[in-house]
Amino acid sequence: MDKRSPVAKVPFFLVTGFLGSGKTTLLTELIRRYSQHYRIAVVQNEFAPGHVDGQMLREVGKPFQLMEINNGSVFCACLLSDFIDRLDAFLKEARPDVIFLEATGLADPVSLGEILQSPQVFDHIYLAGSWCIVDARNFFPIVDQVFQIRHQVSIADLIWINKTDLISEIEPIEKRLRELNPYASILSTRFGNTTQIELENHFFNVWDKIPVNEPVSKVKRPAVGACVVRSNYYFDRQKVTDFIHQEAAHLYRMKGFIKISPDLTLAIQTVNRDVEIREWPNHESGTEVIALGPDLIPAQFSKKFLSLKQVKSSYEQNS
Amino acid sequence: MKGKELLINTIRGEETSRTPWVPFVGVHGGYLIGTTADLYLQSSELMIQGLSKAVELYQPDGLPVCFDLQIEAEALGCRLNWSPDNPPAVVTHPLAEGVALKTLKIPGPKDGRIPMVMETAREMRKKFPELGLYGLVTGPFTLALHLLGTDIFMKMFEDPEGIRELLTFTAEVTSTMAGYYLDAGCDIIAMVDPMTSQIGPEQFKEFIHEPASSVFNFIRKSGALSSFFVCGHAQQNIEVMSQTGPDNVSIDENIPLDFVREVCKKYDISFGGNLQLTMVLLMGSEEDCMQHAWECITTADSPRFILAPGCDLPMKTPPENIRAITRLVNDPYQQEVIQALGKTSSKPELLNLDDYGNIDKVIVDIITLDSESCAPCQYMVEAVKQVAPHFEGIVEWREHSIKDFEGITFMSSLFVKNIPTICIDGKITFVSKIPPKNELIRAIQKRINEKLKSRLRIKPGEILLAGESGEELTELKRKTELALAELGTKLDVRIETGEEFRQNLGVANTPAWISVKYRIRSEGRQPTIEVIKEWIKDLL
Repeated sequence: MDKRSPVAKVPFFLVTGFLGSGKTTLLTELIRRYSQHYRIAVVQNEFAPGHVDGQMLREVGKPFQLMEINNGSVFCACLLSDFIDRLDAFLKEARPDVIFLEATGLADPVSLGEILQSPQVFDHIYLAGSWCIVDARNFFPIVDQVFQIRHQVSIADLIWINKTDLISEIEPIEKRLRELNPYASILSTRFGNTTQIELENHFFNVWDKIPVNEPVSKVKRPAVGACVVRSNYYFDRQKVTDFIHQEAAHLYRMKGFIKISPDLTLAIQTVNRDVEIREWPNHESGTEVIALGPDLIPAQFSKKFLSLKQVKSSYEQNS
Repeated sequence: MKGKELLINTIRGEETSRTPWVPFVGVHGGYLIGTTADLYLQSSELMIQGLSKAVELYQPDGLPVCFDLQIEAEALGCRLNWSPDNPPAVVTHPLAEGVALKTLKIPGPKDGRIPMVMETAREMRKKFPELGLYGLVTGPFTLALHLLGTDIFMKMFEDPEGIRELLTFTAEVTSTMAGYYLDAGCDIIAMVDPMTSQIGPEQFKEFIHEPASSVFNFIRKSGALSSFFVCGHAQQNIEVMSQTGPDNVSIDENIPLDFVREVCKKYDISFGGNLQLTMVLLMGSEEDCMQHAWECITTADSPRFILAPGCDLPMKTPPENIRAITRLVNDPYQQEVIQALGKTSSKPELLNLDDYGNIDKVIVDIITLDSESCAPCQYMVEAVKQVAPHFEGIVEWREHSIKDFEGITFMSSLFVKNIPTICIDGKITFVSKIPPKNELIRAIQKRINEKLKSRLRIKPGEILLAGESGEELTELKRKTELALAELGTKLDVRIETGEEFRQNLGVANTPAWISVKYRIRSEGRQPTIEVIKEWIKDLL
């Protein structure tokens, strides 16, 4: 039986990025630098090209926990159902302090986040953030060719522009990233080298209360809950604005995109009580909101949020 | 009208009796018969068993023969990794490993798992002639991605001619597979091309329009119907997909149904979708599934709509969730119920129903949609009305229509899930089925007996103190309470001071201390009058 206290939830980070962008390199670096302090677990696609059997990670020679999955062709959410069973078993066995999921290049990060709300694992983990690695060398034209790359960038908390040594100017990339995501922190690295960056500061950036120099397992953590809400309805601007301000007071963080009409999306972010809402013309998919807060119950949060939708839905009314 | 006919009419825009329902049972069929995905997808026998089970449980109008987008890729040399819980994954991409496109050959009817799948289709056709059978073929772009890997996105930019050549080839494979399925007896060919959701409409027109159109042309010429399945964020492509000439477009939860309806109306084609796979079908309750299915049907609001999940059902989807949707689709009353429940957005405060046990009467609650308009509800109310006079003064009945908020509050407080339902003293007793008179009498009598019994058990006896006045009894009451306390027991102590009462009990002098003892003489049976007389004599 799992004897962990119900409040000791493990942060779960998604590491996204197109094939070859440097996801495994980043994870290798994390393990090399932090495995002495934290029990780091990595969930990796067993058959993604370039890292068969987590070989590259193992070569670091440092301890970490590896869970291999076999969703070679992540087309959509339908292939994720067994993932929860496996993750549940893995959590009980590995008892990590932090988990990183290395998503395949075309994985939908929002579907991945959504599935962590399964009651089977909800008491043990929470979606703490999404990091997206961008390959500076082939960012153009891939960003315009592949929808999922834009999607991964748009919902990331942290974007790494990697391999900047291979390009002459970084500004056009930054500009394009900002068009896709107004709020994420953007960092750049050369040769996949992250040694100059305090990665640790990004592990738990969601709770300022946790001293970063304490091993995570020694710190009593609040029962953080994360909720992902997706909808293809349009929402009432006034109601969502009121809702965001009200909820911000109880949440650590909320971010995402809310569709108001076919031509208008709001990009929102709240950090503790600070609220930012701006009109955002560039979001391509529907409403996607991720909220993170103490004792947040996803079913309640999403019900409240979905009740803000416009009465007669979308297309007819607005077209 | 159901099954194949209903589906075909819906797709063609002819008259139908209701929305057709096609649960996409893929590896979930394996789950239904207790086998793993890898064994299931490699055995015609197991697939027939799984699909037959799905027909029995879900009464679908249509089913796909096999939901596995790796069949063509495997036959063309992609290596697969098998999983017990999912369809297999393609793990090698021949064209990225030096194999030349011109050396690849269109798979023949005996290659890979094709003969096994076609055998399944033929058997299903024979076994269920009325069922709409879908043959699922991998679309040209997804198949090209299997063959070349994700390099395809760069190559579309660097070598567009090479990619067009590849897509011409994969479209031929798709058409060939469609032909095999049609020969095996399928009614509808669904071309599944989820990877097109990754590209924009301009690229779609440039690369996908021609190959996809060639597949749909082939299907049309063969006299069959077609569907273009896509999942993911493909809203930007619905218009260009419709221009390739399918008879139907099927989408997942990422795209609003009313948007698709409008585009499809313009192209005079049918559409389907988009039940949420994870949050609702896999993780939701039966009620969530019905609510959501109703939301899909009403949002689609079209006679050309087919209700279906957004993609292959997750393997371990609880069968009762899918059965709930079947009930909703087939039963107009369920639809009214869901509609009535859907109107209440706020969750009712639950009532405290503890009082049911504490009152003398037995309360019969009938939760209905509305006995005026819902026939089963009316019969259920009638049944209770007929029986109630048998228990004059003991039984009280009430109807709670869920068209009112009060009714919904009751329904939630009593944890009632189906309409109509009879609850006796707060306990769900008859669900949906109208009970025969004697069964209902028996159920009520049982509750009366239980109540009587529990009342007697908790009240083994009582003490009566009779006197001229309360003052006269003060000392006696004090002593009695002290005695009870010292014995560590609790009994009711009643004070009676009326003259009439003393006379009835034959009390000559006061104060009098009288014990009253209850004895259970009979439980769970009807004693005869003669026996009852004996018990009465014992009291005299």
